[in-house]
Amino acid sequence: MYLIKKKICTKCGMCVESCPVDAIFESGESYVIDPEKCVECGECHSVCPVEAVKDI
Amino acid sequence: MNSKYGGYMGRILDIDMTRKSFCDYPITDNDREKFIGGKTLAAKILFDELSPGIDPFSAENIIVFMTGPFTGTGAPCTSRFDISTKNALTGGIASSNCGGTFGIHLKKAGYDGLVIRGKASRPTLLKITESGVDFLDASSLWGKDTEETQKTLEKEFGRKRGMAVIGPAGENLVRYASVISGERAAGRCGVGAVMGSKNIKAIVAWGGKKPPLSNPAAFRKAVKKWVKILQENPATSKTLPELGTANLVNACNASGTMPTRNFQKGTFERAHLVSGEEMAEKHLANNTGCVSCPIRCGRLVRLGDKIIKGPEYETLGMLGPNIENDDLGKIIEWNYKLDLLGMDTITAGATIACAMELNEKGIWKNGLEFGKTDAISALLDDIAHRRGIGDELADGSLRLALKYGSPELSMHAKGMEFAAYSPRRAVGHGLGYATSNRGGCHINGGYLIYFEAVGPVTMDPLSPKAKPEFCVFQQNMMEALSASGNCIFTTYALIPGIASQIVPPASATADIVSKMMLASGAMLRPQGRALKDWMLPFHLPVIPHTETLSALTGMKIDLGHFAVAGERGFTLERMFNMREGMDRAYDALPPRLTHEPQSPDNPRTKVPLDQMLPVYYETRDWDKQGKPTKRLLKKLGLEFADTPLRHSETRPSQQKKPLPSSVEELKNETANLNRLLNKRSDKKSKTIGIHEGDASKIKTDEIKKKVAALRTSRLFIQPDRCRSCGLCHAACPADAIDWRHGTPAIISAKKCVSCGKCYEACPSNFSAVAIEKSDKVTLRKKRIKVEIDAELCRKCGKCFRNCPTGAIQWQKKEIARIEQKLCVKCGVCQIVCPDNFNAVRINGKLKVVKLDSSPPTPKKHHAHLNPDSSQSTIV
Repeated sequence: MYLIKKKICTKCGMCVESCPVDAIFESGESYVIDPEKCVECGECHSVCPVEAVKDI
Repeated sequence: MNSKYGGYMGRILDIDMTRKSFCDYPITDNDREKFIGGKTLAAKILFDELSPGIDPFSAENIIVFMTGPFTGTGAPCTSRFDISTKNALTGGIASSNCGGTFGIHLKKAGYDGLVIRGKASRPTLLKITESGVDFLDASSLWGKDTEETQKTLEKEFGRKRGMAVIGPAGENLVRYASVISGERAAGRCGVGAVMGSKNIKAIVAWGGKKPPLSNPAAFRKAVKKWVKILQENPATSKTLPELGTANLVNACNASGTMPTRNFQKGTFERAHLVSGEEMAEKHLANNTGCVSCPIRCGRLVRLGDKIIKGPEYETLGMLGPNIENDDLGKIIEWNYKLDLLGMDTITAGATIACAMELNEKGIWKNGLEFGKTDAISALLDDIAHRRGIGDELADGSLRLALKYGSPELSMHAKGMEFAAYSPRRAVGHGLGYATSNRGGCHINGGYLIYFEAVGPVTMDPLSPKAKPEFCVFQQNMMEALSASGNCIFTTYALIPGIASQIVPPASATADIVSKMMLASGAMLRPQGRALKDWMLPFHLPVIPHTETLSALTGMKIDLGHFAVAGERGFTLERMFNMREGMDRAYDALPPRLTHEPQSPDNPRTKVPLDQMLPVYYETRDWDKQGKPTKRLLKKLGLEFADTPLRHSETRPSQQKKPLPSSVEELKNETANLNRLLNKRSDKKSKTIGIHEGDASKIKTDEIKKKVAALRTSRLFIQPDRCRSCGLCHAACPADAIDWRHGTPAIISAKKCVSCGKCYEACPSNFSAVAIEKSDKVTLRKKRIKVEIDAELCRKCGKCFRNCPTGAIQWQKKEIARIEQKLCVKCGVCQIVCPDNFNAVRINGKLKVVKLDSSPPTPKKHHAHLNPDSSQSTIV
């Protein structure tokens, strides 16, 4: 399961662009992963330049 | 092809639109070390592949899409790709950069770039995937705007695909058509028109690959450091996300650098109504940004019930104060429309402003007035579709202004219009405009305005001191940065945030800082000569690019390497331009900027280009003619670019044409013969005949070739080589060449008799007249027989002196006779035979002569040589 750490996320959008199931959406000051849609492929985790995506 | 360096996918595709085939374009790691990527690597490819003198819209032109090693790696602000080709506005090099996701997805498909040549026979969509290129039919997309096109592609191929599309403007070869990727544009130089000229409607790319990282741990650490710098600097963490580039409206207006009324003035009293602050207050829905960017300077604004992309500073300036428009809502509409049509907002605004000034001065009544905005939306559509006066505006402001005899009213350099900064109050920025390789560009020009007017630390904007040196340094840095795949806005963080706090504007401290900066110019003077890539072997914290790039690629790229790589790129583009014939005369600005003070009471408010240019050349280690020295080319490893411009070898049409390759030789030969035969040559004749001797004595192979060519070919003028000197027009005996005070000349096929005199007249360093086989001409001439009626001939010798091939035999007191073997059926003899003699028969018929005809009037004097000839122009 993946989670985006709000304080670290810069909203650069790399995760959004690489998510194959469009599970990531904008919410306030950061992006958020929809747990219902997420298929746990790990792409967002791998592309995030500031390591804001946590594997929990 | 594959690379040992990180960041690169290792493959560049070479795509042939004519043959519908593709293969790999060979690039070595040595190329990557020297040219890095983006516009610089593209310039190398274009220099190698293109012959000089070709038409940007011809199948021979090549369009290159190129990413940098940073693109798609997630490093900050690296959703960037370059489009380079031959410039539709200037005829020199074109490079246009874009933040759309096309570059990222191209790399995911496994490619660093595309080299596209030829021309498709019908509208085509290129599909680029890991398995290669598919050429798909785009007939159903042709005519659609860019939004509809991308929506259709999304439906067809899925979401999150990289796209590069053109709109109607590109399809109709508007010279400033753009390429759109997502919501971003590659706006300048008419790259969209070049794409359209190849019948490429769209390119879509996707894949699952990732750019390799040479040192992943070091890279990630460097990226985090870089992001932190951007998050802590007020320019990149506050000003840009809150106000966007639109923050520059009030800043430029306050410093007198806001182009107003077609650059007539530098301040607009209602500029605040189109500012970033106004937008944030009344129209902004949110900010947005390119993928991988933490700055997020993009605007999202409301238009009715839609949320669309909002205008950038350039658009606000050029379609706001520059046309004296204070309605921000209208600019938002036009910006959206220009993106839909796929057209550059900067050149569009500049061309409309130029048209407004032509109207204001009574030169061309077109109904467009400064401050009047009702007609503009429809006009933009008309331009994109080349309808009505839109067709006249579709080729940019210079061609428009030239057409109406007023080129000085086009605000351009090298043929491309300036961005929205008035350089009469930022003279270094003006130098940048004049020396930028792609024309009037603020970025390629070095963006000196930041250090003269709008940045936190500035120098005296009116002083020419130190500007050339800073300009060179900035230009080089921008170049390297762009080549690496990075966005120039990361340089906003170059000046630490603390600077604006310790240097309050207009303070004593500011004055000291200004003096220090001006004095430091001397330190930067020896850049070209002395800076070698092994110098400055360190990284500067404020320039995180080098450390991050080194960690990514595994290349040794410290500050020295980076600066010299930028110098190499800039110099290579310069060599490309010089090969196209753009010499130091093209490092120029309109007289309004160099000779008329912007503030009438301050004579310093103009650009002292003639003072700065020599220092600029010296700093760059170029000679006094503005040509990079051999020493510099050696330092940069660009010796291959030092090809002398040999025109006879560089004209593609020359290969097909059997005319003599050396016009001078033939002229000399006939002059010698003339002396031998004691013939009197008519010095008063305005027509320039090549042969003034006795035809029967001279049957050289050259003449035979010339005769054969003129009997079977049509002549035409290549507009990109034509320098509007008017000599062909003066030489044409059939009045078949349309030329006005400065306009590129056009040969009327209907009137042309293929005598070749324009070809002879066109100066060899322009060589704009070309010739190609024509069945039409061949058939027509076969049916023609020209003879001199011996009973009517009054032995004046005029036909003899004007025959283009020397086919007429004549001596004083003797009847003239045509040697049929050498006759090219042009009928010039009949044209010049005096009306009251009228002795030449074409297919038995004499010239139709009016009863009251007077002797032929002398040709118009060369209007362009007379600066006061403005009254002689419009015919």
